[in-house]
Amino acid sequence: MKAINKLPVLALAFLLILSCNSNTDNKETLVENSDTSATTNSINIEEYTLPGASIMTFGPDNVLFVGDSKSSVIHALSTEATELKEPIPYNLWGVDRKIAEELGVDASDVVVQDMKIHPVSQEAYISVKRGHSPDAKSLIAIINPKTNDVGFLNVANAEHSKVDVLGTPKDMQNFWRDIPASTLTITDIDYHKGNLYVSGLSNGEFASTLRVIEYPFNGKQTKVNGIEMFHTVHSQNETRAPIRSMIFQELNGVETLIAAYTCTPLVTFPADQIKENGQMKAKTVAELGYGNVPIDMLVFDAQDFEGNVDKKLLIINKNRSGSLISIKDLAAANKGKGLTHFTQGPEGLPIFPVPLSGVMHIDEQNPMMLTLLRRNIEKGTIDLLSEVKGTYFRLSDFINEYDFADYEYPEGADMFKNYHNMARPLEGFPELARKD
Amino acid sequence: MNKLYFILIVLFLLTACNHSTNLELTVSKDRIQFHNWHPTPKDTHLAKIYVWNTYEKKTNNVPLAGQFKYGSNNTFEFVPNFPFMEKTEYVIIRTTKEGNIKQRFSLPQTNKLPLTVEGIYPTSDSLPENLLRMYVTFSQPMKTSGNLENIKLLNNQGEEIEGAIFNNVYELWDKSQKQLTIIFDPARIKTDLVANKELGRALKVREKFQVMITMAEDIYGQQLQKHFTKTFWVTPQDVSPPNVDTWNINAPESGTKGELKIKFKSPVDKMSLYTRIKVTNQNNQIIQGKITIGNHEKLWKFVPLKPWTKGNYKLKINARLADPSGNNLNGLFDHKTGSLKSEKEGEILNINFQII
Repeated sequence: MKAINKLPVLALAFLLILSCNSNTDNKETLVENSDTSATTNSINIEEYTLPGASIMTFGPDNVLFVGDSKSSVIHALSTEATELKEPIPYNLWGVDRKIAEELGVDASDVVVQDMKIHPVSQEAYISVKRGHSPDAKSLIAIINPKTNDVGFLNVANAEHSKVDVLGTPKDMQNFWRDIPASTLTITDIDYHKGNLYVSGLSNGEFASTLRVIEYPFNGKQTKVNGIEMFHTVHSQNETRAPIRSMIFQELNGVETLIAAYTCTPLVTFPADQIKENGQMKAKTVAELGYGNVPIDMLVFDAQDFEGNVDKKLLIINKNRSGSLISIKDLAAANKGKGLTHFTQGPEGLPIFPVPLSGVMHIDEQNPMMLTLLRRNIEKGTIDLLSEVKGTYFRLSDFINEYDFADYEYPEGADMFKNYHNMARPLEGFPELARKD
Repeated sequence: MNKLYFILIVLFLLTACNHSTNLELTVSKDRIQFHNWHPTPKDTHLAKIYVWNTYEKKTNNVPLAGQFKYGSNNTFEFVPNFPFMEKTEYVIIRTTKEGNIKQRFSLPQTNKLPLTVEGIYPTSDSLPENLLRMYVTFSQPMKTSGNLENIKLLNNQGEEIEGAIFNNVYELWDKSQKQLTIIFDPARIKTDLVANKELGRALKVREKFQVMITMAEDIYGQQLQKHFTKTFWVTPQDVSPPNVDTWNINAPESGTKGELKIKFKSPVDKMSLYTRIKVTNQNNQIIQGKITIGNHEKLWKFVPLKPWTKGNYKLKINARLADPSGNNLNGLFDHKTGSLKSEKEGEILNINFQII
C-alpha cells in the first residue's frame, strides 16, 4: 500500500525532472557551432566605425576615400592588402546576411551604401550602416574572394586624414535642436591626378556642386560655380542639375570629365574648365534614355571573343539596362558638336545595352572580370558576384536548353561550349561543366 | 505525512529547475544584467549571445561581440560592443553540466508616438505650376531609402503623373532623418528641355492635384497608419524671383527679447528661411537666436538668445535664398544664360536696421 502511495510521487518527480531537462537543449541546439567556448570575434566599435560612410573610391597608394554625407566629410584611409593575381570569382549569395552576422544584427538592419574593389588584393570593400537610426555607425566590410570571409577595415589603425566639403559656416546650423540645417548628399567622388572630384546634392538648394579637393589634403578646395549643359536646341538655357556619376578619361589627347545626369544625358567637359567659380560648358555626347537614374560609371579594358582589346565605358542604370560604350566611339562623338535635336534616346553614339539590371554597384575586379553587388529579386538578399567582361551576364541566372544533360552541342558551336565550360565553374557550379 | 513529503519534493524540484534554466534579465540598449547568475570569472566564457535569424529560423553563427563582467552592485552583466537593436530577437546560450541552455530575449519595446506625416512644405493649398521643391516632415526618424517610390503625384481624376518626382539614387534627408526633400523633376519644369517638350509640366494651372504618401516606415519599424495626402490647386507659374526691396522688416525694442520680423509678399522656401538669413551686430558678430516661420512661409521671426541692445544691425542674406520654385535673389531658376544679376551665386546682401 505504501509502495502504491509513493508511486505517484515518484512519477511526478520523474516528470518534473524530465520537464526540467526539456528546458535545456541537448546536442541539436539552436547553433551550428555549439562550441560556446570559442573566442568571440570582437569588433570594437571605436576602432572600426566611422560616423557615416557612403560613396567610396580608391586613390594613390591604395588609399580609400570615403564620403560621409552625414558629416559632410571625406575621409582618406590607408589600406593594407596582399596582392592577388589570380582571377578568383565572387559567388557570395546573401552577402548582406553574412555582414549582418558579423555585426550582430538582423540582415534588415544592414544598410548597404557602396562597393569598390581593392586594386591590389581584389577584395570587395562594402560600406554599410549598422541600423537605420540617425546615430547609426558606418563600417567598411572587407570580403576576400579566396575565403569569402567578412572582415572590417580597422579605421583606428589606418592612416587617416579628412576634409570638410560643406564649406558653409557652422555657426547657426545646429544651434537649436530641430532647426533644419542644410546637408550635402555626396553623389560621387573620383580621384584623378592629385585631385579629388566631389559631386553632391543639397537638401536645401537644387544646384550643381562640383568640388575639387587637392590630395594630400592641404585646405585647398575649388568649388565650380555652375555647369552649363549646351544642347544646340536649348543652348540659351543653363541647367543647375547635379552630376550623378562621373569619371575622368583622356579623349583625343584631352583630359576629359565624363558625367552622367539623371534622365540621362551623358556629357563631357575638358578638365581645364574646372576652375574656382568658373562656369563649365558641357557637350552632350549622348542621351542614354529618358526616365532613368545612372548609378555608377566605369572605364576598363575588355577583350572580345576574337581577342581584340577595347577600352569601354560602362554605365549602370537604375531604371534601364547597363549602357556599354566604346571609348573610341565616345572620342569620335566628342569631336562633333554633340546632340542637336530632341530625343528620348538612346542616341548620340553606339550604345550597347547589357543585361545588368538589379545591379546596385559595380567595379572592375581584374583584367577578366567585373564584380557586382546585385539585388536578388527573388530572395530579397544582396549578392556579391563576379561576371566575365565581354558577356556581361551570368549563365547561372538562366535555365536554358544547354543545361539539360542530354543536350548535344551542334557542330561549329565550340564557342558556346567553351564559354559554358568556362562560365559554370567560375560562377560556382563546377559540377555542371560538360566533360564531353 | 505523505502529502508533506510530496509537496516538499515538488517545491525542491521546481526551485532547482528554475535555478538552472531561467535567467532573470534586465535588458537595456547597452547591457544585460543577470540577477540570478553569479558565475566565477573562469566560467564567464561559458555563455554566448546570438541574433535569432528570422529568415532562416535559427541563430546566427557568429556570437555577439562584447564583454561578460561584473558591473556595479556586483551584478553580472554583458556589455555588447554595439548596442542591442529594437525589434531584434537574441538568444543567450549557456554551457552547463545539463547541456546547453538557451533563453530568448529582446529589448523591451518602449512606447512610441505613432508615425505620422507632420506636414508638407510649402503649406499653402495653392502652389505654382513651376513648383520645384517640397519638404515632408515626419513625427519619427525614418528609414532613408526606398521612400520616393511611395510618394506619388495624382491629378484630379486620381491618376498618377509618372516621372513627376525627381528620383535620385540617394534620398535627401536632414540629419534627424525626419525631413525629406522632394524635387519635382526639373527637366519638366525648365522650358525647352526634352522632358518638358515631350511631357509638359507635371502640374496644370487651375487644376487640383494631390501629393500622396502611400507607405513609409520609421527606424522602429512603424508604418503610416493610412495614406497621407496633400491637396492643392495649381496657380500660374511663379516667374518673379524673391526681391529684398519688397520685404517688410519690423525691428523690436532694445532691452527686450522681442521678435525681429520679416514679412514677404510671397512664400519663401522653408530651408532658405532657416539657413539663408543671419543677423549681425555692428561688430559683424552673428547674433544667436531662434528662427520660427509662419503665415504659409511668408513670415520669418527671430528671437535672440540675449536681449537686444541699442545699435546698428544687419540682416545678411545669402542670394541663394529661394522661393518654392527655385527662383532665388540672383534670378529665375529657369533663366536665360547671362540673365542672372551676378555671375557668382551665393553673394551676401546686407540690409541695415536699427534697434532703438
